[in-house]
Parts: sequence; structure tokens; C-alpha cells
Amino acid sequence: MPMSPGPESKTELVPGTLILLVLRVLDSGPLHGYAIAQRIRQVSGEVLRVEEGSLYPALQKMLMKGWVKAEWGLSDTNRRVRSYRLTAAGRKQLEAELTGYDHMNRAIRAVLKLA
Amino acid sequence: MRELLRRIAYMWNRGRLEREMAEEMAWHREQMPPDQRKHFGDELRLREDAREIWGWAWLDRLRQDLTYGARVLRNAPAFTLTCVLVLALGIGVPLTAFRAVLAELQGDAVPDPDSLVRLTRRAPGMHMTTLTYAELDFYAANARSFRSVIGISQRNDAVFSEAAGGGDPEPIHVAFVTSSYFPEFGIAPALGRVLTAGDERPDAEPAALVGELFWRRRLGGDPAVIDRSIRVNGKQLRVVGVMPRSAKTLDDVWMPLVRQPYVVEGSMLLTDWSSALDLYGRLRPGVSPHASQQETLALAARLRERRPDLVWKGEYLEARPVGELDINSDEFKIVLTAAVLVLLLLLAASANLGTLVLARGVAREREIRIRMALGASRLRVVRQLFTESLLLAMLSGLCALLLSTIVLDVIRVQIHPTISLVPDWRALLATFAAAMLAALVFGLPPAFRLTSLVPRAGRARTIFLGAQVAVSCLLLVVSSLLVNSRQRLGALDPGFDYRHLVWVAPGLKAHGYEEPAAQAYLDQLRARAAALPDVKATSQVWLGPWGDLRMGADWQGRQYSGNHVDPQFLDTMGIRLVRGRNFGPGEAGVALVNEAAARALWPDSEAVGRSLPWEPPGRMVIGVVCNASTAHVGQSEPLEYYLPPSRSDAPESLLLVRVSGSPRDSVRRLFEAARGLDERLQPSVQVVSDRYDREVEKATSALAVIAVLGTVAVLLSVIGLAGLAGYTVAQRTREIAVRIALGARASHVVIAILAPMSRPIVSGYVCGALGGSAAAVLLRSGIPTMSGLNVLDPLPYVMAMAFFAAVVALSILAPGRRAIHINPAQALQHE
Repeated sequence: MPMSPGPESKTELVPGTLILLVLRVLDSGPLHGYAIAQRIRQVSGEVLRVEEGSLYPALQKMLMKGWVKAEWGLSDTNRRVRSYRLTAAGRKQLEAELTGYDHMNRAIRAVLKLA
Repeated sequence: MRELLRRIAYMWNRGRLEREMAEEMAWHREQMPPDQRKHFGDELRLREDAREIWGWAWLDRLRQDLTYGARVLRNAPAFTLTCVLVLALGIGVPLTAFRAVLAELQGDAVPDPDSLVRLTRRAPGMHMTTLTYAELDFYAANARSFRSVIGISQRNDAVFSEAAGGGDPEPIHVAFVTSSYFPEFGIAPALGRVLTAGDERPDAEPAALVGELFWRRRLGGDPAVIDRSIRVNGKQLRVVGVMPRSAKTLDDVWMPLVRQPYVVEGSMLLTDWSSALDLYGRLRPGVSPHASQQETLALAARLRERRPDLVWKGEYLEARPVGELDINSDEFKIVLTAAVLVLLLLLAASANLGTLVLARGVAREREIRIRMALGASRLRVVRQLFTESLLLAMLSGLCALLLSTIVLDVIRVQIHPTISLVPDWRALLATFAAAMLAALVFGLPPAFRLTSLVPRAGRARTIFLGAQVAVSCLLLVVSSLLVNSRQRLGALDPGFDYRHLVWVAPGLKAHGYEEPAAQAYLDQLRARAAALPDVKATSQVWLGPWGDLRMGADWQGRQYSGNHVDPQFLDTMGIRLVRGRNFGPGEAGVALVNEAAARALWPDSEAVGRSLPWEPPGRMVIGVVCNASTAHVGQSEPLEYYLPPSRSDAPESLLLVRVSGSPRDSVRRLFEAARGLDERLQPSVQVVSDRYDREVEKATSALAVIAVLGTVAVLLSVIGLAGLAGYTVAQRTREIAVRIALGARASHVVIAILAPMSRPIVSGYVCGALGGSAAAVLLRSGIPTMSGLNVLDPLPYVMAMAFFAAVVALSILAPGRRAIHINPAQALQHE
């Protein structure tokens, strides 16, 4: 029986922001899965703790939507790794999500100030 | 769209994708510092998440459910077999009807049916469905609303012979059409070519098409028939093509309308105003049927200046698109009633299966509880159970398709020789839809019911049982009513001596006879006929008894049938005069009515001496005769009136002959007598009792269909009730054992089983009886022979009820015996 992730799961991200983060990270160049996770951790100053494995279903969803393209290459240790590159559609999506995020952010802040 | 394609591509490569992702994730974990690896998450669950994203999860579950369902069904062969049998019948019967109707309609595949209109004459208070050639010619030349006007005259009697003159001449039906018929009705030849405007030129060689069935039956299906010569009425015609078979094109030979006088010698069809053609028009783009009616209103007024006697005041051509259903027609009502009846059968079968599935489900309660206790959501279990039902329904659908094909193969000779046995997409779709519908009805409620945590509400079972009893009773009541009226029809006296009557229709008008010549011909024929050995009496009448043509009046909501007859009519038919007197020779301005009509028109006073209200004033009733149903077969209260012949009747009149022996012996002699007077004629000799037999046969076959439905419904009921009773016994074994142990007698045990079934049975019966009488009323309005059907007659209802009671008794026989023979000691020890 597939269980949906309950409230106790380790993702401390606002739902849906994972894809936004991945898109943003990939905007500066193609990366493989592990590097994406590392990057998010580094840039966020370890504040955002991604349950790292959940990156992969998210990447699959982005592949399906056509936002990223995947390519198999070789790592420094000569292992097969898959790196992801943003497509034009992905870039558009990133912009759309950023604007959406901004709106939301402003709205939340406005509420916080008032209260 | 792209996404969908990607999804499908993923479906193909699912194995590889899963491996790739696993590899990627493994590498990721290896890269992570060992103390952080626990942050990666549960790989198994992540992979499941990914699968959900790929959109395969449902597929996986479906496969699981199907495998599981198949296993469950395989493990209960008796249950599966019963269900498939019940549902195959439930789907198969409507499906067969659907395919038969579909085949019937196949001829209607007309290109752009909205702009092809049927044209009929209408004026305030008047309606006529046929037009003459002169009118066709006029409207074709003048009406700008129509791109083309099509005229058809179908099923004309003619005689066929081979060009060489070998073999017996054979009576056939000929259709005469304008060449525009073929392109406008979208008819492509099965072989050769269709008729064209070139064939209508006066100097063209007379051309004909042969119907595909006639071609196969009579001409051996030889492709070399093209360019061969055949003879129709002795006239040579060249075959240019084969007309494809369809339900609407049953004629044997097709010819250009303008060639009609060529094969029917002396015909005035093209010049006089007497022909009866079916007219169709193809509207020009952008012209509405209504606009065309405006135009024909103006045109008819112009035509009326030429023939004020034949064109009505305010006449126009009503234009009705051929694709439009006439929902007021009797035919439509019958089809609708039949459709509802057969669909009810599907409902009965589904309800039936519902009880079976429920009964079996209760035995599976443990399994379901265990699954739910292990964490399956209710929806998941419902889905599982429904998949099982769906599997069952699809299996039955396949069997139903097979069944309908077999039945169609058996009955196709009677209904429709051209029916195709290979199911087309519509039949497949109907099967699928019916199976789906059935699965929803019989699968879903039990699935919800069985997974419900509230212990047995039992409503679903009551509704299922009530529905199935209602449908079975409805069909039983209808068949019982029909049997009853059929018996009455057999016993009904038409009121005249129909077993010894023959009529000769020489077809004088078609061959251009005018009034005095026609009368002379009929007088001679009469003299010749009277001289034949077993001829008892002869009479000249306008319409043959039980013929296809009828005359009548619609007065105060009742239909009165009329005829023009001479003074010998009563004697020839064997109709007794009750009051007043018969016509005298040559007498005009008088009328006879039968007793029923006299009663209906003048309930309180004497009919003799009154005038018929719908005739011109002064048409006096001079006599009242016994009731005889000469226009329609099987009317118990026929309303009829008879007028003396008028001079202009002669070209259309026929000779009615009463013989002493079998009428069939006289057919040949009368034919030769009629032919002997004029070699050009193609006289038709009809035995009146044949008409009667045909009508009875029609009623019988309608009855047979209903009876089959009724039988199937009853069969379903037996299975359903037996299943339910068996389930009740199984479920209540311990209770019954306790009762027996405490001294209950056999009758108490049986009552205990029957008690929960009694309410739905009674309410089902009441609903069924009401529905049955409503259906019978609808059928009665559509089948003239059924007009004697009396829905208030209690006997059919009592019969249906008695029969159904017997069915209930039969179906609980086995479970009831099992219950009576329960051994309390054993049963109570069991658990």
C-alpha cells in the first residue's frame, strides 16, 4: 500500500518549493543529482534540509514535464552519472514560479507586519 | 500532448527507467558522508513516489487487481458460470435487438441527411404522402429551393424472364426512380454503374439495375450479368449495374422513372395526374426546410390555377429532413417500448447478479476484513471488488456478443437477409457500454456495502430483489396480455366469409384505361368469372378487404373505414343486412353503415334515414349491416361504412369473388381470365385469407419476441431467487438449527426463509404489473391486430401472478429442502 508522506516526514520545505529550488540551481548550469542536493544545502547555509532522496521523484516529474533534460556522463571516479540541464520550458517555468513565489512572499510579509 | 507521449514512452521503458533511477540513487548515497546517509530517506518509498509520477501506479494496481480477480473467479467456477450465464443473457438479448435494428437502419447512411427532405402534400386539414409525376416535373423545374427533386416508386409488381425466354416467368418488384436518387442517397453500385441522366434520354437504350439479392438468387451472382439483357413484362432491358443490398432497397429491378411506360404498356404515368410517387428534395446550401415550404406554397397556388380540382387551397410541400425522427409515429413508439423492455432485461440481470455478488460477498467477509485490517483503504478494497465485477461483466459481454451472433444467424432469414454477422464498432461499443453499465449496477453497491463498517443494512439486497421481480413481472404481464389478445384474435370473427374470398386487381389504371373502357373490361371479367365452375358470387369494389389501400374518415376522434361497393357486395362477402335495405343498381347518394358505426354515430336514435356527417349533405344511410372488419384484421368493434360505386372508380376497381372450394384453386383460372381479356395487363390475384394469416403471423412473432424476453426474465428470476434463498439458508443455518431444535416444523422453516423476500416480491410485483399494462397500451397503439387487447382484463394479471408464484416456489425448492434437513446437533457443533 503506498503511503503518502505524513506530517512527520523530514522535508522542512514549503511544499512545492523543492522544484523551484532545483530549477534555480540548474539555471546556472547542468548538474547531477548529488551536486544539486549539495548546492541547495550550501547556498541555503544548511538551513533548508532537503530529504535528499526526494530529489529524485522531483527530478522525474520535471523530466516528465519537459523542464529538464537528462544526460548520462562519467564522474571523476569513472562512475556513470546522470546530469540534468534546464530546457527553455524549464527556464520559463522558473520565471513563472519565481513571480508566483514573490507574490506569495509579499502577501505573507504584509500579513505579518499587520498582525 | 507532448507530456502524454512522454508518459506513454515511459510506460514502454519502465524497467530501464527504474534501474537507472536506482543506480543514480545508489551513487548519491555512496557520495554522502556515512553519518548523513539516514537523511536520504526511504529508497523504497521514493521509488514508489517516482512511479506515481510516471503514472504507472494505476497500471500496477490494475494488474494486481485483475490477477487477483481472475484467481478469485477461477476458484469459484459455479459462481462464475452462473454469473456469466445470467449476464450473457442480460446483455445478449438487448444486444441482439440493437444489432437487428442497426441493420434495419443501415440503408439510412445518406450523405448530409439534414438537407435531404421528404416532401409531402399538406394543406390546412389535409395531408397526402404521395405526389404525381406532373407535380414532380413542375416542382423540379420551378422550385429554386431544391438542387434536385427525387421521385421514387417502389415495389411495383412485374414479371421477370430471361432474355432468351428460358425458365418460368417470375413475379418481381420493380422500383422506378429519377437518376438523381443515386447521388443524393449516396448509393454506389455493388457492380457496374448506377443509372444516370443519360439513361433518362428518350433515345437511350432501356437500362436497369438488378438488386444484389435478386442477382445472387436468380442470376447466380455472375459478374458477367453486366451488359446482359433481361426481360421485365416481356420488355428487353440492359443490365448496367447491381444495386447494393440494404434494408431499404428490397426491389429486384431498378429502372429510370421515365421508362415506366416502356415496361407497363399503356401507362399514363408521365402524362396524367394519377401516379403515386414518393418525393424527396435536396435543399440548396443555406435554404432551410421552412423556407422551401414558403416557396412551394406560392408554387402550388400557381399549379392550382391549372388544376383547381386536384391541388388544394393553401397547399404546400411539407419538407421533413430524412434524418429527423418522427417521435409521434407509432413505429417510433413501438421501437421505444421494445428498447425499454429489453433494457429492463439488462437491469433485471444486473440486479440479479447484484444479489448473487452480495450473497457471495458475505461469505468473503473475513477475507475483506483481514485485508482492511492490514491497512488497505476502503477505496482500495472497493476498487479490487469492482475490478472483479468488471472482469465478470467483460467476460459476459464476450459471451453475449457470441450469443447475439448465433441468434442473428438463426433469425436473419426472417428479419433481414442482408444482415452482417461480423459485429461492427457500434455493436462492440454497445457491448462494452452494456457490460460497463451492468458492472456499475451489480458490482459497485455490493462493494461499498461489503466494505462498510456498519453491519448489514440489507437495503441493497432488497432493492436488487425488488427490481428484478418487478422486471420479470412486467415482462410476464405483457406476454400474458399479448397471449390473451392473440387467443382472442384467433377466436375473433371478422364478420364475413374470409376463407372463400379472392380478389382480382387487373391494374387497369396503370395501363391507361379510362372510365368507360375500364367498366367494360370489368363487366366482361365478371361475366367470365361467373362462368367458372366454383364461383358463387362476384362484386365490383374499390378496395380489397384487408388490402394495403384504405379510405376513411376521422370523425370526433374515431376512425371510420369506408369503401365503394356495388349491390352484390353484401352477398359476396357474406355480410347480413340487419335493418333497412341494400343499394339498388346504379343508386347514388346513399350509404350503408355497420352496427358499430351506427351505435357510435347515433347512440340514441335510429341510423337509417340520417346523413353521414363527414360526407356532402344528403348522403343518406339506407341500411345497417352486421359488424365486419374488412379494412383492418382483428378489430373487434370495426367502424365501417359503404358507399355505392362512383363512375370514376372503375379504372381502380377490382373484382371480389366468392368461391365454394379452396380459393387457391381459383387463383390460376382467374388470372388467366383477366389476362385473356387484355394481354398487356399484369393482374394480381389475392387470396383474402392469406392477408389474415399474415397479420396473425405478425402478431404471433411480436408475441414470440416478448415471450422470449419473458422467459429469459423468469429464468433469471429463478437463478436469482434460488441464489438468495440459498444464501439466506447458509447465513442463518445456526438460527434455523436452533428453531428446529426447539421444535419448529418444516413450514415454519420455509416461512423463515421466505419472510425477508416477501416485501420486495410483493412491491416488485405491483410495480411490474403497472409497468406491464402501460407497455401493453403502447404496444396496442402500434400493432393494429392487437387492438382487441384489454388491459383491464384481470385474467392475464392473475395468470402472471400464479406463474410467478410457481417460479418462487421452484427457486426455493432446493435451499428450502436443505434448510428443513438441517441437523441441529451438527449445525450447532460446527463452530
